Amino acid sequence: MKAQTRRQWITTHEWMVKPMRQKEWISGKGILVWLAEVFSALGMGTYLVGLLAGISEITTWAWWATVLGWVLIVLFKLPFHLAYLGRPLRFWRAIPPFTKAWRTSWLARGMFFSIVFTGAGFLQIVFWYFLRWGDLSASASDALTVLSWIVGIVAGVFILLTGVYCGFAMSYCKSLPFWNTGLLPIVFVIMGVADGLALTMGVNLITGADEAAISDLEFWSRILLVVNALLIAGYLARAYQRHSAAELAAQDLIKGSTAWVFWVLLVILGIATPLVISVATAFMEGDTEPLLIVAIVCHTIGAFALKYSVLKVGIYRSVLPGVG
Amino acid sequence: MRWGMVINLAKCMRCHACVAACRIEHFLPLDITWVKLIAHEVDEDGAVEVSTYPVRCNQCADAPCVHACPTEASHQREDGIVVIDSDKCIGCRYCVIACPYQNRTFYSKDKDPGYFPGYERTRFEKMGQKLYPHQRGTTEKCNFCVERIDDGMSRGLTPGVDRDASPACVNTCQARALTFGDLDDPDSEVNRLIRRYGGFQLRAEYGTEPSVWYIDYRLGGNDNKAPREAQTGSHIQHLSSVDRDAFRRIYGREPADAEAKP
Amino acid sequence: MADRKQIVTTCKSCHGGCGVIVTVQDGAIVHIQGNPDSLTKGTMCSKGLSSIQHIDNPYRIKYPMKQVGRKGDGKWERITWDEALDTIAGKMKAAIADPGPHTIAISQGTGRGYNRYTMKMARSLGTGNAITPGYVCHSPRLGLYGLVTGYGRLYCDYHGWGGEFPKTQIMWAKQLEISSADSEMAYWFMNSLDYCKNLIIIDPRATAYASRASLWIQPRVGTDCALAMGMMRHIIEQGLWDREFVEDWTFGFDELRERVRDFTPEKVSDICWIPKEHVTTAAEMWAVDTPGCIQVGSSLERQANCGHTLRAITCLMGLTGNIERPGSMITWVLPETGLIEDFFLELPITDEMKAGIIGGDTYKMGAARTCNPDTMVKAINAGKSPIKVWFSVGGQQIVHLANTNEVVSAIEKVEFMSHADLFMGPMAEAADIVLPAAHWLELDDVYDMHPRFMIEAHNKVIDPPGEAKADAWIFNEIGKRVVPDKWFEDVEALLDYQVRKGKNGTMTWKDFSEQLVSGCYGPDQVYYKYKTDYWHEGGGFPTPSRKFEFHSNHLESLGYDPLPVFREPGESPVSTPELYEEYPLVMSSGFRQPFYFLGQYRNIPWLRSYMEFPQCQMHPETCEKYGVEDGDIVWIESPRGRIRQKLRAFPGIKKDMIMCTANWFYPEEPAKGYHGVFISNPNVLTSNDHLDPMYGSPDLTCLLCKVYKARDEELQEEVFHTEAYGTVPTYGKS
Ligand SMILES: Nc1nc2c(c(=O)[nH]1)N[C@H]1C(S)=C(S)[C@@H](COP(=O)(O)OP(=O)(O)OC[C@H]3O[C@@H](n4cnc5c(=O)[nH]c(N)nc54)[C@H](O)[C@@H]3O)O[C@H]1N2
Ligand SMILES: Nc1nc2c(c(=O)[nH]1)N[C@H]1C(S)=C(S)[C@@H](COP(=O)(O)OP(=O)(O)OC[C@H]3O[C@@H](n4cnc5c(=O)[nH]c(N)nc54)[C@H](O)[C@@H]3O)O[C@H]1N2
Ligand code: SF4
Ligand code: SF4
Ligand code: SF4
Ligand code: SF4
Ligand code: SF4
Ligand SMILES: [Mo]
Repeated sequence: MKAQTRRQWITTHEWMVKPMRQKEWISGKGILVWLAEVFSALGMGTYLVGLLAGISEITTWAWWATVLGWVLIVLFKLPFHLAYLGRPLRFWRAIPPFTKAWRTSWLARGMFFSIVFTGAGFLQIVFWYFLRWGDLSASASDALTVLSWIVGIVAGVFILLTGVYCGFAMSYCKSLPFWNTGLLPIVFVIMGVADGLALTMGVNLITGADEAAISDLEFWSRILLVVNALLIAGYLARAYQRHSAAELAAQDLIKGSTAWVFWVLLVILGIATPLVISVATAFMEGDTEPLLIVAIVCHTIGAFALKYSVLKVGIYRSVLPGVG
Repeated sequence: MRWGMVINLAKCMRCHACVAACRIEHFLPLDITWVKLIAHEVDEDGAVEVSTYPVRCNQCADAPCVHACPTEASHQREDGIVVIDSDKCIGCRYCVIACPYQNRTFYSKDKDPGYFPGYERTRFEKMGQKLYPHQRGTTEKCNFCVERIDDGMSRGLTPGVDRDASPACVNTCQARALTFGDLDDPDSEVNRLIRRYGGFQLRAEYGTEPSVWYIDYRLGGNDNKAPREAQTGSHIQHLSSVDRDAFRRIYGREPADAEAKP
Repeated sequence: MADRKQIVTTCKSCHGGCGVIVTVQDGAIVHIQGNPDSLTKGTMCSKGLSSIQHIDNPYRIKYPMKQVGRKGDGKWERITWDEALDTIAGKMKAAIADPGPHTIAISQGTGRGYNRYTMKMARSLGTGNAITPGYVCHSPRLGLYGLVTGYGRLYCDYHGWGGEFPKTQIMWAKQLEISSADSEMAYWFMNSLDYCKNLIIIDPRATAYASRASLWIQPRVGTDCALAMGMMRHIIEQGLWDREFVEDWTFGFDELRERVRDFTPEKVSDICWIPKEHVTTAAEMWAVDTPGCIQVGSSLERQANCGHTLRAITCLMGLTGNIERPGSMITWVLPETGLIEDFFLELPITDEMKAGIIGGDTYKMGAARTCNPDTMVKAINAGKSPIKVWFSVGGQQIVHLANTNEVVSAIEKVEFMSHADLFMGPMAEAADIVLPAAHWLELDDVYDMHPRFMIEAHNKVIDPPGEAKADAWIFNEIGKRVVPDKWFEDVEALLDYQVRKGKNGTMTWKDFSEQLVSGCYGPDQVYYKYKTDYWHEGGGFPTPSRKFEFHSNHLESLGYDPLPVFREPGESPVSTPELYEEYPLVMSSGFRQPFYFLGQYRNIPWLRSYMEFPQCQMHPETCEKYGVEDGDIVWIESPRGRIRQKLRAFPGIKKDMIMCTANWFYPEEPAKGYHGVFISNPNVLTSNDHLDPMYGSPDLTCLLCKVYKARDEELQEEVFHTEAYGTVPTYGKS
């Protein structure tokens, strides 16, 4: 029946009988969850890369990378999450010590992780700033270095957790076989870091390209892209074996109505293009900037596409016995 | 003490009275139903398996929704009932996603267009906003009629035995297909039924330990001669059936995954 | 402290009967539940519970209105009650003066607790032309059971009051579990199944309990009479009949034996399209595991051989002695308040009235006290009908009579029609004056329980909307204006009168309304009446022969065959093979939905949410055969016309047939086109040419049709898009 009316939806009897898509976290206001998730990934990646790059020497671009990462988390991810809540003003209830739910709830944990990171990350950024630009006495600088190491490690750990928890939150769902696997968080982290590398390259370009650094970054992103391509392929393959509903989700991903997001935006733009470019540029003489920019943009689009596809095909198992 | 319900699929004739009773008891907004009747039909080469399942929150002993909740708004009572404290709920919908049985609904504005969209609200609705306020932006589900249970017990009544301490849906069922009682008491009617007819839970393999059990058997004894097509009788004759090809395609391949009823 | 009170009353959202407790707070109904102290033990169905959505329902009619446009245009103007009542009364007086009272028709729908008012109105005016759907609903059963039991009621003893529950139960074309038809409450039946050994379901379509049945028989629609005769033959062949009862208490056994002789299992299997073992197994279960009762469904009364089908089934009861035995078929003893029908029976139907009954000369059983609607429709269209004034209270004749096209053109020809209703439906739109009726939550009245062993009280819970009034008031006001001597001071007096016999002659309505029921049940009931002086000194049945009549002397005296005869439906693969070529599907209509009552409740959101669109069912293989799929909106076509319903592939239905949802119009559709009565209503397809000789019942549940998919561009009507549940009556000029 093409013509439908709004009354139809309360008809209860096909609920969870046919495999059913999760909607809360993707359609309507659910879009906000998707954006928040994407920004966690990007933020985590960028911050981590910046942090690691800064270990040997706090370069301008490394500092900016950590700043960007921090901003993505604090000014994008968290606000989007907040805006999604049905009761935003009560957000504090999800944060320890106001809740003890972190014992079991990945969401509560996530909140905790992000907040610790917000603090630690901020200090790290400030400390690095002084270490890089402030003229400090040797003794002061040594002391600050130690401090920056400490906060740096804390921030690093917690941003990693922040990036990882979304994956766990989703893989926790027993009746969503496509999500319900330990692989998911790993895919999310690795993809996040790869995205981070891309964005960091961007930062690098803006803050006065450092050729050597860029080619290092490209080297790593090349590896991660390959790893990721394999991971995703493996993920889908596993889905086919793991469960009929997971299979259905996988089918939906590659054949379904939003397959173009997967193929065009994720596979072609998000993975293939940057890969080709980074390989190409490795052997290219002269000015590769335009290509790099293309790669960075594509890569970032890929980041959005990945989470979108995965959220979109969250398909529940029927609740009835004998039905998958 | 752990409250539980046994749903007798042999007796349920999907009249939907339970749904109506629940809507009245809790002044539910138009587009929210806490209890649903869902129907299931597989037709594998002529072998028809169909039934109607009234489903409501299973009050799982090990409840994913509770574990998922970041605010402890969703929590489990001593008596096993899983309740939501709407004053604590921040509306993150993680529980909605995490409930493997999809028994939770997020109450958003669009789910409350009024019984007669575009017309003045009925007195029943207006009174409901006083007597049983629902908080927009929070999540809801069947609560085993805790209000009735608590009120009843405070007056020394026994849930499952005395109406005033028992769920509204259980009271109204003309087929007497719903039985309520204490799962911890081995002699309770619920446990007797579960033992006698080999009760089963939905998706027991999730390890959620639902407090809602199902039993299915043939009236008129097990020498029942009705052919398999007659299975359809217990179902949705008045409702829609399920796309058979989809079932063949999706589930035909994995019988191993489909656990059989005891 | 909020003022909160509980009122105990009785539901009649179906044929009715469940005890109800309603909680009211500050003038609003805040809760409805069953009354645990009633015979339905505190249970209620979705319809009764959803009564709440009748209150403050914007679609309710609030004021009397008169049609200011052409019939069916939906142009209304509010008028006062006085103007409305005086106009109607005036028309009636004029008609009575000339050409005579028989030109007035009084109509209602299915039993809604006010049948006796309709009948009293007709008789007090002096017309025999009462119009009710009884002849496709319950009357054939009552009339033909009456040939055995006297005043005409034979019910299933589900109660165990006599110490025994039915051991074998036959659901014959019935879904009592959801229909609580004729106040035999679903709860009683389902409860009695706990004690039942064999549940036999005779239905081409799996009902809710088919999967629970000991035996499920799927006859071709319209052939049940043959099945009953086959069962009797087998019982007699095997010598399984109740010798004692048949010897001492029956009349015409040998003729019956003769009559059924050639209905061999093979022959029956050929006629009914069922395995012959089904005939023999059913017969054996029924004859061996007694006591037993047969719950007969009205689908059998919606067929042009209903008289004989019911005769055959009744004989089946007698053959096995399943009459007046605890756990069998029984006539209930009345409560102290007496027979509620006396309210109109005390006005005898005169020969003059009889003479004026349309169809009375032909359908001597059905049209003895009420007119035959199909004959009336034909007559009006032929310009020969005497009907000048039509007073309609409830009922959707436009929707429920056979051949909608003819019905609509006929009703539009009636000079003056008034209709009392809660909502604007097809009949209201066709009326000249519409009267706003009250819902059962809004009125005081006596509820008459069909099985007659009790009456219950409707106690007013809340005020009706606008100027809506109880039916009792409406009838009484008209009565007072036209025939004052036969009606009452006011409603209270009318109610007092109906319960006056209670409390040995001292009962008033007030007493009754508190007492809530006047009943005769439990140990007070009497079984085996024919063995006592109940009907006759020294025992016997209230029949001419004082016996249970296999051979009915009464039917014989009316010129009918005294014994059952099987006849094919008017249209069937056998009776009209050439038509069958073009219309290859056997069709039946009107399987009840638990959450709707005939044409009602599509405008009650809670109920509409369960099944938005009328559905028809075909077997998956039959669907494939005709290239249609589950979920399609299909055209269903007969020689009379075509309708659209949503197709459901349903493995539980007999192959090569289709079952359609009946009594379907769309409240949300505009008045023009009578709220979409032509979109999905199966009576657009049914024929009114071939009627039952005794009752004049048409083949509403057995005809031929064909099915094909409807294209999307053919789904333009409101109903496929609207978000509303109904249309709000307009009171101004529009
Ligand atoms: N919820 C609800 N209750 C109702 C009503 C309602 O609309 N809704 N309507 C009320 C009224 S007015 C009435 S008359 C009663 C009717 O109530 P029932 O007598 O139960 O009638 P139906 O449900 O229409 O039909 C019963 C069965 O007859 C089967 N059937 C159809 N044709 C044939 C046939 O030729 N042979 C056999 N053996 N079976 C056949 C159908 O498949 C159906 O399952 O219900 C009353 N109660
Ligand atoms: N094809 C086909 N046709 C059928 C049938 C079938 O199975 N198939 N079934 C037949 C049978 S058994 C019957 S009984 C008829 C049903 O025939 P109807 O009784 O005409 O069916 P309804 O559509 O319920 O019409 C009842 C009308 O009365 C109104 N009403 C309800 N309660 C009250 C009240 O208390 N007071 C007043 N004033 N009005 C009230 C309702 O709003 C509604 O408009 O249909 C018959 N027609
Ligand atoms: S009320 Fe009872 S019979 Fe009706 S649908 Fe619910 S459980 Fe089934
Ligand atoms: S059924 Fe769902 S909502 Fe209910 S307790 Fe279990 S997980 Fe929670
Ligand atoms: S929506 Fe409310 S109840 Fe559900 S998880 Fe979030 S806070 Fe807890
Ligand atoms: S137990 Fe109470 S809340 Fe749960 S479905 Fe039944 S009536 Fe609704
Ligand atoms: S069965 Fe009939 S009387 Fe009982 S609640 Fe339902 S509608 Fe009312
Ligand atoms: Mo009827």
